[in-house]
Amino acid sequence: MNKLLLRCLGMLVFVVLTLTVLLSGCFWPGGGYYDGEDFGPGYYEPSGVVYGGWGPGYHVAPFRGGEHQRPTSGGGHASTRAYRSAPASHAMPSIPSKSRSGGGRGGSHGGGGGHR
Amino acid sequence: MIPEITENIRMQPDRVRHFFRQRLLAVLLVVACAVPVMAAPIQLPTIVNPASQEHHVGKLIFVELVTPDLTVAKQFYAGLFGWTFRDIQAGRTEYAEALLEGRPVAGLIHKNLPAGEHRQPAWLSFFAVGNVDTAKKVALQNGAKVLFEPHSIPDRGREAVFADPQGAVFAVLTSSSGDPPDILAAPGEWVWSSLITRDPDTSAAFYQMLFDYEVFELPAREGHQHLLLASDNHARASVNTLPTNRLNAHPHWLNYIRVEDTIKMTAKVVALGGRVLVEPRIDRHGGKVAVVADPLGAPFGLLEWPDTESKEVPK
Repeated sequence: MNKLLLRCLGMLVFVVLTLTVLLSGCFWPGGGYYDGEDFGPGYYEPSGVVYGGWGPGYHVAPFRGGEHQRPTSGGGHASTRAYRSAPASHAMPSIPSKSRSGGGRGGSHGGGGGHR
Repeated sequence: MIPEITENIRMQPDRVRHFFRQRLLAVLLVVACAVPVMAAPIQLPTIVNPASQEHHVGKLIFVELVTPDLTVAKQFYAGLFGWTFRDIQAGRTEYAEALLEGRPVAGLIHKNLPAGEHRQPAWLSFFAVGNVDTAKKVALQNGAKVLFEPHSIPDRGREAVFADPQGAVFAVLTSSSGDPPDILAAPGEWVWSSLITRDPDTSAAFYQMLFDYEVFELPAREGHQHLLLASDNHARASVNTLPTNRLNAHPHWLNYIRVEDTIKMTAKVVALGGRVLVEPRIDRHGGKVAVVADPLGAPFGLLEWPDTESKEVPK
């Protein structure tokens, strides 16, 4: 009877150890894509966000069609801007114009400059 | 009853041993089968199918929505844009791949809203980078915060989520299937992005450092800035001044879906249970723009971009 008890105890220890080793692989920090029970990105935006206040002249879209006049404040020369303005020789581009089936329609970007 | 069992055990030690062996074997078998399933890495679909060899650093290449009600979200976007969905069980998380005519357009993730945290559903913008870990280094050096550390997902690629120095949240992704080609988005696909922020000037500098954008300045009304971020000779996004006359306004990225008729689509948004946040209005390109929210509150833009070649520009 003692032998049987020892064997059972041995098996139990083996099972517990196996489970511990294997499961630790699933939840080891940085070892997988799990963060507990969920995965992937979470909720980052604060609630109660309000929109509006886009008064007249508040534009978000790019120009459509070919080249457009650049304002004089930009143009790649030294300015008080935190960013580097695109060189004055580069035309302002628009969104891609090529359609899925080939050929340009709709958007078209400014030609004649902007090569990188 | 108990003395009877004890007596049986005493009388039949072999049978008891056999019984325990069988049980233990069964437990081991279950563990052996279950653990590989639990430990298997999350697998998400590729963002480009078939895979391409294209790479466009700074291009918006994917968007993901975290939502508390996947069923409602799917019904709304299916009704609005004709998206279809492929459900994927990723671990214990429900994930739906949104498709337009078989092409991947977005990913939707179901997550319960965390209790006590004042958060809302939103579309997360993924911009292409050559190396996520290098992007993390550059972002941190320039004042960003890491919200989700770089991690690799089989088939998808390597990604990370950051908050820029002014708090706008965005993600970077090195797609293992390449980036989508630079072609005009079809109606129902993502066509444009705007960063609406307190200081467009320093924001543009931050993203220029990260994605090597060319920055163009567009005419804007007094007290506002409208900057254009470009790469590969294509406009990628705008940076706009956050209107100051709104409480609770905070810097954020807003993505726009191409539509053929903004007015019709905003009416459809309302009919499907969504809300109009910014009424349709003519924008710089001559088409109408609107901002709407899905029934769960996730905002996105609608941008009318006709197929014709006219250069109608509003004053």
